[in-house]
Amino acid sequence: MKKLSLVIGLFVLIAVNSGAFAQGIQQTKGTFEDKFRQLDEVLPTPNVYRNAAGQPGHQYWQQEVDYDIEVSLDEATQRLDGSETINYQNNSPDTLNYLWLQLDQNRFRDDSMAEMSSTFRGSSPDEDSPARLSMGQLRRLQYMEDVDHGYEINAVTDGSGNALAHTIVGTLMRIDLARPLRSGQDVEFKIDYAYHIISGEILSPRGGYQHFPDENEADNGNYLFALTQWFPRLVAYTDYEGWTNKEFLGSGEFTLEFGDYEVAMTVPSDHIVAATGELQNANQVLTREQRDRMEQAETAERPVFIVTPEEALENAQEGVSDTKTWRFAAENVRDFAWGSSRNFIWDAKGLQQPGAEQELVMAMSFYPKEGGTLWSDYSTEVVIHTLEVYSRFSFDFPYPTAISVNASFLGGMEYPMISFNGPTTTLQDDGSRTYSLSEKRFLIGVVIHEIGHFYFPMIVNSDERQWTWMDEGINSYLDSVAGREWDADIPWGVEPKNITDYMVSQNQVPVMTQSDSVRSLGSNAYSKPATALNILRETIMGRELFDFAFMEYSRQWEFKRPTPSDFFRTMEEASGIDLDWFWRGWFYTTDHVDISLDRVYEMQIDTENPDVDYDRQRDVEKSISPSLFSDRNREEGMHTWVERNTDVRDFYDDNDQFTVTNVERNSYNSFLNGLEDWERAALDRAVEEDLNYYLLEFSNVGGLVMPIIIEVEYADGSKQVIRYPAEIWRRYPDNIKKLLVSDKDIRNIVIDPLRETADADIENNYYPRRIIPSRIESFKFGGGSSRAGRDLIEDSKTELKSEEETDEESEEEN
Amino acid sequence: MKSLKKKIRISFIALPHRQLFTVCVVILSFAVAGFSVEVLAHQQKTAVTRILFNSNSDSIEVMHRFFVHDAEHAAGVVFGESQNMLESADARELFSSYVINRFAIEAIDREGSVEELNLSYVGTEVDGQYVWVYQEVADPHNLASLNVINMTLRDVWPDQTNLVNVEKEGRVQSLEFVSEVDILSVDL
Repeated sequence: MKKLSLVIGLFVLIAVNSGAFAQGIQQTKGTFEDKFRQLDEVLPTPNVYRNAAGQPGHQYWQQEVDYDIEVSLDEATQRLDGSETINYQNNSPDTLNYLWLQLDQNRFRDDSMAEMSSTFRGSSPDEDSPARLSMGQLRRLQYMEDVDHGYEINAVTDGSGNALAHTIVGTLMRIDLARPLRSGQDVEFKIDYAYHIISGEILSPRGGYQHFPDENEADNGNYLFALTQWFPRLVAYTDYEGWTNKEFLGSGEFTLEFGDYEVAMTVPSDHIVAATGELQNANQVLTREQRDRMEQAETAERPVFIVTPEEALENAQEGVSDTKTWRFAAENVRDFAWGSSRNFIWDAKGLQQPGAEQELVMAMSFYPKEGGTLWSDYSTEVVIHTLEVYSRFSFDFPYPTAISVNASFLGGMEYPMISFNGPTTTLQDDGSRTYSLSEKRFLIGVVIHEIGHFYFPMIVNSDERQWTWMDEGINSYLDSVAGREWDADIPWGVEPKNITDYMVSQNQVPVMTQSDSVRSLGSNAYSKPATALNILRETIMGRELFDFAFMEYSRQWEFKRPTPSDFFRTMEEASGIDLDWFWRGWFYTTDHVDISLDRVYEMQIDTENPDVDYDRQRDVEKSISPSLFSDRNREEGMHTWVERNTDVRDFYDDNDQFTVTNVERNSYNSFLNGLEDWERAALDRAVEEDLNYYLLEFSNVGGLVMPIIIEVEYADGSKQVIRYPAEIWRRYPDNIKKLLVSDKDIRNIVIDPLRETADADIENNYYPRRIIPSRIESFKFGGGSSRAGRDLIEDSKTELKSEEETDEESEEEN
Repeated sequence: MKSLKKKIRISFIALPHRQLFTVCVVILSFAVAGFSVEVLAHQQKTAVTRILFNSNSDSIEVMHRFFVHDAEHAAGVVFGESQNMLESADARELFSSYVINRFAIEAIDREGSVEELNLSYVGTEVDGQYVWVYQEVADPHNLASLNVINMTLRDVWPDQTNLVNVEKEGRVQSLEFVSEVDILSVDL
């Protein structure tokens, strides 16, 4: 009985498994897999909100949420107290009985789902070795114990001050409306809240504070605040998912609504505030001189200091007890963030966009002295460069400011018009601040990336909670375009060869995976989709078609909310190229690229004329090396019976199997007579041209269908590149043959000579095969495959050796 | 070029003994806690190691690939001063010494006996965004499985993710080192 139940159990398991992967239509006979199957049932059905061309439909709608926030920052206790008045405009066709808000700070509560669902994945202790816990983890545990995190929601009231029923569900809060909110109506309500700002250094979040304990010791040190996800925000209500109210676990970022913001921040009076939007009360918070400098910066050639390093140093010496209120306003943004510190140096430079709706954009950077010249030389300039490049590929930057703030506890993080970036300088013993070449490259790379996010997803408002790749992948693709325009000598991402290790790995998930379920987020949601888009642009579509379609996508969805299907569809619609196979392969599967050239046959066309063909066949027969054993007999001086008895001969000694008789000639003539005129012409021409026919056998080892690009080298030394489209695989996705006709002799063939398709195994790209040295072998024989890492500084100090010394050295080597 | 190589060898031998690093694992960890959520909107902190059974050279080759920027910061934390990896061969050698002390392979042969593979250090180089560190050992041809220990950079920041691909006769098997995972096994 036991055995039987086991068998049944197995069957059930299998059935469930295959069911999970079924997508409605299945190939249930044979093994054929249609890699070019249209994404019909995979993509959502087009509707009035999102049409089949990937554009916003004729009844597209999105909600609008306007915020009026007053908030005060207490530096001593690192606490924020706020009050927000929210106006929610229901543009959906639906009636809403309740609203959902995101309480992202609740993720840091010690009973949050993010905390409670995190697992320990280290080794369990045994007699030989204890379990290990890092000092960082220990500090985190203690910090979580000591400080209460998460929002304190003190009041939720309607426009007339009446309390509204609200229910907190983890990182979410539902507000029950007194009256149903019908389509076209709006509702106003107010939330009073507070929370302890988290330590950025300990929790590694997307914001928080950094402590400078050695400065202003009288006040227990200075702080730099990166205030992000700092107010209860409306959850997006969408046509494709309704409320996007999924618990915040940390990976999937945000899905938000556009709206107008008016924010008043009350901070210590010596703080400098950087924020989304435009400063409304410069007269009250900035000095006359600072305002003059700002005006000067609008048309300056290089960034102008609004707060100089010396002034910031002076400002950081001691604290104050009074406060100032900074007022900012931002229109049509999906979020709002700000930074505040008395340590800030501040520089600015205007970007002119003639003819654009926003003709002047102020690019600005805020950084503590630790940013040094790395920041003053590059940050603001990189901001401007990024805006110029991204605008060329999408749309003019529509906002008045673009800000880069240095917060060294995080790598980089983006919000509308404001980004926080980590790279910083190192203090040397002599008091100077230096930075390495790679730190400089990181600063340029991360600022381009985070400013790039101002477009994707801050304006092209994709759903980050659901699909990380839509903003990170697209932005990583475009940041490498902008990066190469900054300095082509810096190695940027999206090189196809760099993604192959990930793509052959066994633990990956498809790119089309909800953010919290993605494994290896960096490779999955950044590098792989960015590389895919680069390949699409450079290899599949070509720059002209790709750039047109990409711009179309950007402009159609500017200030709107695209989904993956909108992107996939627009790229096809605008370019006229069927890309379903590409999306399917790169975004919906975990296949990798590995195309092999298994065999090449060299052929010559038969003339059918026996007087020609039989001679040729005789030559072929002769060219095959004779029996080794007969050769050895001959070498031993042995003579055969036939050789020794030349007097005995008959017909067969003078004629072989290739001797042509009239039987063959008659047959040839009747063959010719039987040909139609066009057949005869084709044969005659082929015989006259006498070309080489090559049959190439390819196999698709990796599974991902891609174009086959071959470089053919001929016997005369000339080379030719031939590009076969991916559709070559449509009937036979595993193995295909291709006939190649040439008047020249082919010496060898290589697939993907420029390494542009992410082909993982190079060895099977060559015919005939050649041994491809591993990296280690190349390194040993060639002293390294790159000169980028040369010790220039050290090498330049080396003295030129005399000949004698060189001789001595080579003897030692021997 | 020859004299450069000689210099490398000397500076490598002069490095602190490996025992020192093993003891320091916990103390060196300064960074944020290990809940393995990639919170940065900018991707870094991922490394890839290929363990390749190379039949041409009859050896097991280990090729570690790190982002230069990650490596530089990690080395700065571990060795206590700023490291310029793009410019200084010494800095790269110092980082390599760290890597080879954070990585080990225990080999289980077909008889079931366990022995740590004596990986020898081949060298290091920078290629594009990456710094590579190479190790190798002769293929004993009798291995049944491997226990791979990979702590590289993960004792510096726990959100480091290390992918290890074990490639033998065209077959790839992957190991993913995240949060506290320190040892993973693969059958050959």
